Amino acid sequence: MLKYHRIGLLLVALLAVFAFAAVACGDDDDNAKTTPTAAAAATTAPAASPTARATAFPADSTMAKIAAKGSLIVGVKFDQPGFGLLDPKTSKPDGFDVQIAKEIGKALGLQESQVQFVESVSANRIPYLMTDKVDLVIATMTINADRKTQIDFSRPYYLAGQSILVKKENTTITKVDDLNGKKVCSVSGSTSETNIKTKAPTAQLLSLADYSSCVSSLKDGRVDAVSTDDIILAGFAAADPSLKLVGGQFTQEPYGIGVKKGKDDLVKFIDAQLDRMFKDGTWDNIYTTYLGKVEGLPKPADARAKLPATN
Amino acid sequence: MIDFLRELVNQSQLYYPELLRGYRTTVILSVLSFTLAMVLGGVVALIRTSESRPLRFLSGIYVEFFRNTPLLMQLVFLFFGLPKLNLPLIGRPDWFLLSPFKAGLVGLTLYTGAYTAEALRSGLLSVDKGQTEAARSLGLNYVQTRIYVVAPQALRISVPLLTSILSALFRNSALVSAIGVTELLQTAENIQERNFQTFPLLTIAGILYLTLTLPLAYASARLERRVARAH
Amino acid sequence: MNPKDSAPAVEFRDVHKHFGKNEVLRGISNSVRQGETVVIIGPSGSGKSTLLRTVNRLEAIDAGEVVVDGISVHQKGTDVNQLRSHVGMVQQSFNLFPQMTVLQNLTLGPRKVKNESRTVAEDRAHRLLERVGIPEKAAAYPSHLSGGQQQRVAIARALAMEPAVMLFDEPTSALDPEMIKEVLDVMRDLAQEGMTMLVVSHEMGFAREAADRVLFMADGVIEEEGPPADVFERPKSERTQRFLSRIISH
Repeated sequence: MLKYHRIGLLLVALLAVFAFAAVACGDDDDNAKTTPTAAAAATTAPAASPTARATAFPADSTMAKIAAKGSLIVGVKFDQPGFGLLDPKTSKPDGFDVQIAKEIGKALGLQESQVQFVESVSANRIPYLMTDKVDLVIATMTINADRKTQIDFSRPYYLAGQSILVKKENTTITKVDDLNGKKVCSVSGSTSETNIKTKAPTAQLLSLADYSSCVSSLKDGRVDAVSTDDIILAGFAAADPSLKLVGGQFTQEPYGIGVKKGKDDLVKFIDAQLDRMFKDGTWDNIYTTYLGKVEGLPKPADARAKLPATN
Repeated sequence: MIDFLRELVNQSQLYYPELLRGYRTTVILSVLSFTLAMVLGGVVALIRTSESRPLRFLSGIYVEFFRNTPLLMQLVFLFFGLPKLNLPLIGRPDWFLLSPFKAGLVGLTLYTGAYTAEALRSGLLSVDKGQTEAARSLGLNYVQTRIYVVAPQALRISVPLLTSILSALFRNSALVSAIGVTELLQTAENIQERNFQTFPLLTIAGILYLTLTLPLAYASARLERRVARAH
Repeated sequence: MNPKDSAPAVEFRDVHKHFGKNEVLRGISNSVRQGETVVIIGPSGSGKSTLLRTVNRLEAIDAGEVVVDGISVHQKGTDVNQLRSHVGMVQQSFNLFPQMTVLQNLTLGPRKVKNESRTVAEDRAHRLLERVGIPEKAAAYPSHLSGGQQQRVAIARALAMEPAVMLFDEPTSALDPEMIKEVLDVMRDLAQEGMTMLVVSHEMGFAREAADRVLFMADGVIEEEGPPADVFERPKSERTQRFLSRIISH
């Protein structure tokens, strides 16, 4: 009796393990092949150009492959106001980066619903590209030499710069030099962190996992300042009247669209699309919609004029 | 495979000062909090096996809370939550603003203390009652009896368990990266964020963790065998 | 000094004790004079160990009074640790402290309870080990000693507190037969030196030779008492007779 009971238990346990394994594998397949379900595309704008455009690409080009598979998967931020922020009502991301992605999708001949978004935090942007989990990364990613050894970048589509966020009543910190001897928070392992080390060598660094943690520490009085790209800080300053941006841009952080190496045709295609957006006013429109209200940022035309032509 | 091994050596050579700094932080933080957790756990275990019902109850709450909630939550609470407290009368004392290292130390100590308390409690309970009677018969008071006679024997019984708790602590200490302590794992992650050698760097970190935990696992197995033989 | 003339070292006054519904001590009254050796015999479950353990308050009592050296043991204000330091106890299972050497076992009490200096405590410990016949074992750990040696250390440990009374709770019951004698010899010497001793034992030979008085307990009362010659040769009570005949026939 006891023996049978035990065998029964064993069987149940084995089944449980198999079931778990099956579910896990299923997940993997999904991810590898196509759609991580994170957030399907937005639906607002009317369906654009017909799929006929796909035929315009050479048969073996990356663009033709994307058009044929019928979906463009883009890694964007889900937590970056202005660039990629999840709308809690629709469960879809929206922002500057998201609109750029939709424009490129349109140019590839896809329906807006065929552009799919996957959340990409700083740490997984490059791994996602390398493992083909996404076709593009448009996620406030600074173009730099290290990253260029891993992936390819489009030409810069936005020029950010590192700046400083302090409490409104703070008058002692007005420029990057003032950070010396002060407690400054940044994200662990980020470019911003390295920049502070070189521009304000005696600043005491607190390295946390994300910028909302840094801002929390700033408000608690644990640190005197938070420093990273101005657009990130501007988002926090806009949301919280007790904080302000100071010091202007003390670095240049050109944002580029990340593409897996070996897809030169896609990079060229994206560069051409960005050029078109600069010229036909699309870029200015997107800028105005998402960044126009942020205090301290330049006018669209000025911002566009500052953009470097190449990466 | 050869490439991977070459990269392993290469990364180690390039970044060993930084990696060793992280390693040192992990070791210092773990050893320090284990020492404190032993003291804390010892006191709690003595209280949990004492004759006072309310004290036993309170110490039980401590143990069950810290053993049955996620360590990460406890760390985040200490680091991010504590500064936002506004207590009646005293408001928010400045020392609530713990530095990352201090918050990590306090968090790991409180968490590990709950486990050492349980290990030591079971040790205390398994010391023969005759030992207490013999000591009390000599005129030693309750506290002296526990400290000089019962506790040392309980400690010895608990050593295998305590070894695995220390090993768990070395591994758990990686979580303090969430509150801004650049320990071993965070160091490896920071480097790979610059050079993208994720796999080799994490492998190096893994090997460094093993230098801490494998000797403990070996010692623990040996001690368990010795205790088993003694019984 | 004739022991019978001196003041009582231990006095039981109508002592009652229950374990749940079971009354294990049913009105015990007796006294042990200074320098006297009293051996308590009786079947198991008769309450003799319990009675012994009321003397240093290892057992509480429900009614009556136990007085040691003029101090009422179970009264509320009594400093039980102070009291216990005057009452040595040797238990059946030795209970030496395994993490300490023999010497440390002997000096723990004097140093922690009486705040004696290390040298004073260690000097006495060495003398006591000499007295119980194992001076060479001072640095040994209990686990390396034989049962008989361990029990002799336990006796020395109790003596190190320089007690007024010594309690022995079946001190030879856990020993192999060949080791019983070495322990009884030590106890006999102690008795001859005039130590006040209360001994629970099944060793009738020891009781006969070393006891000034024998108490026979049964069912929580003292059924019979007297000098060993009287109790063993001419028992008055029928229960005593039955008990003795069973023991001796074995």
